[in-house]
Amino acid sequence: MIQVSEVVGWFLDEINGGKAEFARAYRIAIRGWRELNWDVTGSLKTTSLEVDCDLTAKLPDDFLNHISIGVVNSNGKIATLTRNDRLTMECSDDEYFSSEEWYMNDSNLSILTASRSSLGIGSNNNIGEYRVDRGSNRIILNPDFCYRDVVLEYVSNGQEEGRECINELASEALLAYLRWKWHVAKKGVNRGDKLDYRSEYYNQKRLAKYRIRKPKLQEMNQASRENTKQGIKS
Amino acid sequence: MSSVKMLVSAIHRRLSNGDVTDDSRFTYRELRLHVRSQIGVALKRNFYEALNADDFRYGDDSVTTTYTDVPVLTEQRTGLKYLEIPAQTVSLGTMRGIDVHDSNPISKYNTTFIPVRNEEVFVGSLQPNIPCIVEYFRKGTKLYFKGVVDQEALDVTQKYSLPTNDDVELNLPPEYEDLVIAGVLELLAPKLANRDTQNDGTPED
Repeated sequence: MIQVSEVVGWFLDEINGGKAEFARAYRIAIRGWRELNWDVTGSLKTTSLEVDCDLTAKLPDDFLNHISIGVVNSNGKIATLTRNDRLTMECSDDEYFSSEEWYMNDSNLSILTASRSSLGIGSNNNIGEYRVDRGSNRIILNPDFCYRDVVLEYVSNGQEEGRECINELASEALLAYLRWKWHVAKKGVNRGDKLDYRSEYYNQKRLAKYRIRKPKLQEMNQASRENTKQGIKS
Repeated sequence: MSSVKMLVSAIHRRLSNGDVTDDSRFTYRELRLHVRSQIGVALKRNFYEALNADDFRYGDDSVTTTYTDVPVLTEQRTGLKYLEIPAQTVSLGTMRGIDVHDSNPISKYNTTFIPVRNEEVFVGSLQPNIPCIVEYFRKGTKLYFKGVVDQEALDVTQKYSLPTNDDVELNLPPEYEDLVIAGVLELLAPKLANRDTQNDGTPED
């Protein structure tokens, strides 16, 4: 990972700029960094969040979008919760709020279900429900939630220790973005050059996406073997 | 390199055809004004020559003066930290002529000061602050800081500046000194045209 300020330094070298151009270049670079994070470089992180007494968990500061939310089972895998957008933090019934921490161990997983239908359990193993509330920056859990921690797999905004960093493989894409946006509102730059800068940015973005997500031979091999099934013909 | 006083003295001797007498028609103050004005013209000429010679827009590095330990003051009315610009500069139209820095400008541990224009102050207030950077902008002869400044004094490096002390050596490239003298003499040509060295009331020309 390299800092966005380093990419800004490369750009200032190109245009023979210095301190007077730094503030504008940096602000343009931040926009490019954000866009590349959404599409290309957004890093996946997994973290364990403590569940508070009101059955909510605070989202991390660098949270952008979640991939999965669940609890870790005895196999070390994430057993995902069920999304329920009707959950709310407001609850008039005090019995849903417990001041004591309590949790259930994995042996009870098989008997837990939120479905009270008389027609049967169904195939969905509902071990808990969640809703991501962006307004309050929290994950709201259902009143029956009985785990101490919840595991969140999410897309991070790329900030490390408060500094904006970008995957090195996408640094040229960020530089191309900076070059494009710097010249797009500049006087004396003709339309052809602006279009060239724009197409160069999208080309570099495509290359960055390929570099970062390049399929590995080992994974392709694994997927091919997993999908190959054989059966005995009678 | 010469100082303002030396240039004034050289011009005065030339105008007086030798030693300067007490009843000279030209005063030091008058010549000083012209000399400073012509030095400004020479500096601006040097700046544009440097611009045309290269893509670099910061001018000639040799025409630089560093003023150390300029005190950082607090304005009572606004609470902003500021410092007084040490010397008068030629108008460059940008903030590229003034650089504020700690005593060691290339150390990784010092605070980085970035110049911004007045319009950029408003634009910057609409966006998150740049981390580990203190921005400063100019209002008249003061530089105001937009951020936390813990230092009590800072160094200021100015390009194309005219010192207030006439005895200080100028940072003018030597090839411009004759141009300054020629410029002043050209300005004074109308006055020289009515010279009366015999002091008999009749102009010689």
